[in-house]
Amino acid sequence: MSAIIQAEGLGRWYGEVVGLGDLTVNIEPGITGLVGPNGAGKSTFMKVMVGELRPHRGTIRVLGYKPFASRGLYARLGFCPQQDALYEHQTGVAFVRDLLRLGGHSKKQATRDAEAAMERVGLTEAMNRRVSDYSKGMRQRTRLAQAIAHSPDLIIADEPLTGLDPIARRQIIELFQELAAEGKSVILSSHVLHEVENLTETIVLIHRGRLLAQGSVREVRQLISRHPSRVRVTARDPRKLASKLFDQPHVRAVALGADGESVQIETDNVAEFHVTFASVAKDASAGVRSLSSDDASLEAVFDYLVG
Amino acid sequence: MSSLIAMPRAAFLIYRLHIGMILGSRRSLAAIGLAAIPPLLAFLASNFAPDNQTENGIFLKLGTFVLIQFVVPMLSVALGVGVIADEAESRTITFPFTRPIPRMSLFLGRWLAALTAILVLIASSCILTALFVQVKDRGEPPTNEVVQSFLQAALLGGVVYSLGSAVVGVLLKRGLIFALGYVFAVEALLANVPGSSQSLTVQYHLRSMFIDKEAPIWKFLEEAELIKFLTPEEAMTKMAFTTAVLLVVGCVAVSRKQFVLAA
Repeated sequence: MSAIIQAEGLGRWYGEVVGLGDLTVNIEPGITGLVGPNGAGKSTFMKVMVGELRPHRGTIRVLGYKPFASRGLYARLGFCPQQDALYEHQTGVAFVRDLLRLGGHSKKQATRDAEAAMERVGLTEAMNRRVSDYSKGMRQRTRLAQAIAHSPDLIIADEPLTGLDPIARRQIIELFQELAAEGKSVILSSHVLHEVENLTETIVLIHRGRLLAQGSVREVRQLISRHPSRVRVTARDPRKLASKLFDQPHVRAVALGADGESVQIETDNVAEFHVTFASVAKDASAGVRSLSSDDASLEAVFDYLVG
Repeated sequence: MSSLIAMPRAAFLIYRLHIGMILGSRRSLAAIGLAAIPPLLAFLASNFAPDNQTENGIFLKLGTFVLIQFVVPMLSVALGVGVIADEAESRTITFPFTRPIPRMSLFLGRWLAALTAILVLIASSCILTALFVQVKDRGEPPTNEVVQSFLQAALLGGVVYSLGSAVVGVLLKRGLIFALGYVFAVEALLANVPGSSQSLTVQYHLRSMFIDKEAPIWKFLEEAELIKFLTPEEAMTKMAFTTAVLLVVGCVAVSRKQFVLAA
């Protein structure tokens, strides 16, 4: 399967501020989550992908096109920008309809498709109201509606779940899943990692304008297997447990929790830790109550990778 | 869709969209206020002007020094500089720019929409000024030919100034400041400095279109400013050429420029 995004050595900066450092990444069809902390370069990468900005260095192809001002690409691309900007004097459906008309739709077809898109994002009842009266979440969904209305092959959405209430977020996640099931590709960015994890297994991690890791969440976890993992244990006598754990060769650090009932353990080899922990706990007679791993989520993977 | 069809179609759609935006904007209220200045002054001058001022004289002075020298450039800058800059500032430019249309259609459509508003306001201002100059028993009122030549010059000024402002708005981040600086420093000052440097201004060309060299009322201008005006046809040709150049520059600039939008 050929990559929908092929970026090689991408660099883009704003004066002395680096937006993208040296980003080389290929993105395959399907849903891909672009994750990274604020300022990582996600939005810059998206702007380069949709041709809003030209890279200062490197090359990029999106669906085979050079994106800057590419009319061929824009016929097949839907972009939902992060910025909260709409034509305020218009109704939601008129906003989507007029953008469809710019894309070559007839008035009748544009009206029909705009209404369908507003329905898909859950704005049927509000679509004839002016967007200036919309809530933040409704405005976000309107931006999403204009991105999907022309049934593009690729939808690029910058922080599309930001500002949505939990029900709307659920709806939009389902919408992305439906689009993927229809054969569309979706690239969405987020710094709220569990949102992405709910939606896709495929992630691209960016930090300081560079690719940090790419693949499924599991693959990324394997990639960091050499990095220390953290485990939290609550016990009746955490001090006693901590003193025994210090002797274990794979334990790098032990810290008592502020609650006085837990121990934070950092280990080089989490599998070995789990094998030996039972006997250590028994020797310590510390009354272990629970054991949990802090890196069970993508958030923890991300924390490790970005230091 | 080929560019030949896509461009006028997209420009027309953007024109319609932008006309709606202009009508609903606060800036258009300011523009209406500007356009109201010459008729208001005409009314005041008609009631308070000294006895030696004729109707024709009041109209020519207001037309030259208020309408064409002040209102036309200010109004054109106010509505013209934001043709693209407003869309970039409001960060909505992403939407038309990620549609399969030639980028220059955005410039053309939005400029034509702004120009429509500018020309309607200038024409209204000029005609109302002529109507409001009413001083009984003080000579003839301005003839239709005089009003018409003023109107032509004012409308042409609206075209050139608005297009220049739109281009400045595309090229510079603080286009409004630059455009206002140009209007005040070059058009208002240089156009009134005696000598041939006047010919560098748009004002000189606009004046060339309505000044009747044989009329005694204009003798003072030629004598005081030590300059020969062009014929109306020469002035019109030069302004048409300037317009064409500005149009090309604007279209190319919009097609090539990257707009860095804050999140």
